[in-house]
Amino acid sequence: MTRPPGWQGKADDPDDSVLVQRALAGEREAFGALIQRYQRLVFRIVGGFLRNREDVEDAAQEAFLRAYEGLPGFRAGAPFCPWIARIATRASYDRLRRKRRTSEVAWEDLSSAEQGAVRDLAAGADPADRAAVRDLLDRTMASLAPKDRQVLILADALGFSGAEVSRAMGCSSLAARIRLHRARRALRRAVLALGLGMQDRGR
Amino acid sequence: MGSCEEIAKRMVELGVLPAAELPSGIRDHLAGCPACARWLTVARVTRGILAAATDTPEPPARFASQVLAALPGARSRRADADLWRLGWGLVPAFAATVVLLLALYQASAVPAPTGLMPVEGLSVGERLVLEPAPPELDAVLAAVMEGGGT
Repeated sequence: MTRPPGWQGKADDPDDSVLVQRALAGEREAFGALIQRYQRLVFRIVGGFLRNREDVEDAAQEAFLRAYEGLPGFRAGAPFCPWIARIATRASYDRLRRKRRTSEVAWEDLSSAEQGAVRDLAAGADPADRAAVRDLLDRTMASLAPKDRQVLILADALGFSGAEVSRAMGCSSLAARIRLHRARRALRRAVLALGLGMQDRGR
Repeated sequence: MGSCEEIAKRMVELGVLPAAELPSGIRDHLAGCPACARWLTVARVTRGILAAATDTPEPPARFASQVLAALPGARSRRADADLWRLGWGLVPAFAATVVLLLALYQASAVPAPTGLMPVEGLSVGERLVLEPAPPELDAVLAAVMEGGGT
């Protein structure tokens, strides 16, 4: 029986594979039930890539539309969760790729709220301004290649296992591990540049 | 007093602690080792940034129905169904109109149709075809058709 992580539905709710079969038979309500079941996961994945609320909703909708179109190719009995996670990741990736990347994160470019958030985090305190931390996330992640961002969101933010990351990214587990290592190093470099900027200004 | 190796080994664990809650040995080491202090700062900020990635908006209440409405074919199938419903709804109205027209036709004194075009301008052949043929002409025509002639 397959269910999304943290599923809180009833025990007698139909299994994912049953809903997929019904959706394939043209029962739209069955696909609606799958959306209800996986929308939070999809929003979490997409939300890790995109900051703007409208972008998040659009990419989440795009992911479910792609899933609906891809249902005939879905292997019967396969787990639905990594499949939809992969589609959501690709939809986010495609949208992200269309946005312009900035080359690096400079301390001077941060807003005062973002600088305050960095100071709080550096001191091990919980920053009160969540929006500023989210801006910071967007800014530092934008300095990474989209695939680096993808692997960091899945592995380090959402806690996907190595096998789940490789399934979601459509690559081998070795490639996913190498990518994750490179992405962590790139993020550390970006954060280090911020930290040095902070120290230079005599915190 | 902690060492650089110990701090490197415990970086993840130390990275989640507020500065004031660090063990005193570690605090002492960090005060005299800028490299370890920097790496701990990086670990904390990185962790905080990644944590923000899970702080995502909740799906709106009508998200599922919005997606269903946007599915391919959803609009056209509904439009087709509406058209059929409208079509079947018009059948009784059409039938009622036909009955009414028939009733009006029966009740009214409609003059019998007269000739629509003057026959004076017609050629002989046209008259032969259009005008009611006198009985004797039937025999002439039959003879012409059979290749005879008059």
